[in-house]
Amino acid sequence: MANIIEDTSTPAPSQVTASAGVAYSATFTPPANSLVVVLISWQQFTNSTGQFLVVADTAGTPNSYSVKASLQDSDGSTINAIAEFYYSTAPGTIQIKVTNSNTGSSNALIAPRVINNANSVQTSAATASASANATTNFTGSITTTQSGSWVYTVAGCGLPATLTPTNTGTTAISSWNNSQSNDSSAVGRMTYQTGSPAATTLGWTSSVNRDFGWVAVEVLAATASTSSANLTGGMTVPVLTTMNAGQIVTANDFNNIGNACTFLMNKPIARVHDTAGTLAIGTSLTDIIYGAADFDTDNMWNSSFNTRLTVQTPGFYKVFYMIDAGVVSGNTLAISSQAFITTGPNNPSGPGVTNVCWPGYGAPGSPTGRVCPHSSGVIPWYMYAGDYVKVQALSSTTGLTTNITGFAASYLALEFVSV
Amino acid sequence: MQIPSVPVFVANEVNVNHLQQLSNVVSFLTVANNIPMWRSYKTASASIPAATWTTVTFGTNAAVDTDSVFLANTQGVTINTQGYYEMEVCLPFTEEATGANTIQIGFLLTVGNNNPHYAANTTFRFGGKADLMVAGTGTDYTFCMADICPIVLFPGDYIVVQVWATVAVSTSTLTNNSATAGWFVPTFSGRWIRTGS
Repeated sequence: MANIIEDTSTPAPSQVTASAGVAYSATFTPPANSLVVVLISWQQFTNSTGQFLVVADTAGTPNSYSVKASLQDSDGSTINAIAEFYYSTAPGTIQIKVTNSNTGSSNALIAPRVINNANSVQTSAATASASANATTNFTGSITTTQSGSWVYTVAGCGLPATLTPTNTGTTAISSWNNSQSNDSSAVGRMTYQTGSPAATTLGWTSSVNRDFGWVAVEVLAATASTSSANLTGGMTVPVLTTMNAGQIVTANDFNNIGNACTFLMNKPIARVHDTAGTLAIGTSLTDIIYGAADFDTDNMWNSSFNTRLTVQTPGFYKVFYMIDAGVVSGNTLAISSQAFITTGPNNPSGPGVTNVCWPGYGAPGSPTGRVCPHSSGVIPWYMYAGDYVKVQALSSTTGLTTNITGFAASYLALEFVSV
Repeated sequence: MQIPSVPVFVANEVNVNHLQQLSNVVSFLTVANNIPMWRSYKTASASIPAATWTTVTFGTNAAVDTDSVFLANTQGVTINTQGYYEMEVCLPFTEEATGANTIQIGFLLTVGNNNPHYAANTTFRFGGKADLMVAGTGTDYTFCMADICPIVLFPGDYIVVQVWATVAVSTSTLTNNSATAGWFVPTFSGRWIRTGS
């Protein structure tokens, strides 16, 4: 089973004012094969029960999200919901559009979460909801169904309040003590992946007594067949034994040395490059997308994970990358870049631990010039099978895209250098 | 250079040639002079005209050349041993008088007669770095980049370093006080990293 992690494309939660019953999240660019879970707490200025939310993205052809759980608090102040959609292909830059059946004045807390290694089918995942009157204990119970799943949760109430996670089992992603709507909301998830399937209580403690609404949704991890897409099992790293005085040397002893030589002469290398040249590089870090492999001797590249090379054979690796942002005008902009490392399930640090190395920088001359940040070097951490490398870039201004004409296209390469 | 093959030993092995073959493989992988590798540098300035991809000649000062890659041509390297290669280049440029110049550097591969995958004289540009160089800062600029050649190289394949600049520039050699004299010269190096077919 793959380990669930949140992708770096996850945007910051938004506290927004709805217009005629419609509110939008921040923009974000989820990668292919990611599950987007949207945590929503809608705050109505005038209480109204019997309301429901419709959730979709803003792609050219909008994708309708499945509302997995939804519950109003009993006095109709807040609508608390969790919706999700699985992207088999990257949709580009999108927002989440939330529409309330009540078009009255409202605020909304909207928190999309982009999740890697989630199962593309979530129909068997657990959902739960709870509400109570005049209490400070905004919690509920959800019975998970899979070891390794995650649980997201949302709560809201009809008074300004400070909401504090009730225990270490809940991580607060965002909360809003909102005097304008006279409501409060909080969204979060369980701190750790769930253990064996079991009933789990989670939620918030409120600073005021009030009616509340609470929902929770389990997110299932990908099964082995899906996770094998980017962790296929690499080469066998040879082990050389020590030979002692008086030992009868066998053919195996010599063949072990020969195997080590064969390994070194056929060590893992991979190089991928951009084939589209249309990726927008904005003012927040963007994962560079690659469309094809020039060579890949150890299955590090998989087009379903098109922003990364995944180490299959553990060892130390050297990274090479360049980002071609084309010819642009003006000499006031600049692009910064970095190699972005994420640990996988075999790393002793646990999956999802991130780090950066080998920065790059580029800027155009005046009045126009090409911008191509580059960097290379040995990654300063031992890489375990499943750890992966991406390249990220950000620009000082918007409007830049990657380029594949007139120069060498953006590339990312890895070379095994040592066991 | 001959890439040695790894022998297979059998029970009650009596063939000393197999042991010698194994020794040859270990020697190929561990002894610097036995693996294809090069490093060349420039001691003379090179002029880069405006808006023209220009080859920088490197072959006249080969500090390391274990596979005679510079013998066939003084501008770049001519591969003699089949395989994958990694290479890097560093080019310091003399500060220009005015303006904000854009400089691009890259490798240019020209396929030779022995490559079975591409027609002779097919070209590939790989590697790459582009940035600006601002006049009046009192310092020279150095552009460095590295890459693994995206195709398997065969004997006769030919690689050069090229530069393109908006405004004419010159590579710098030992003339700048911002770096230790003798180190601050254009450098082109590379090495065989793996078998390939």
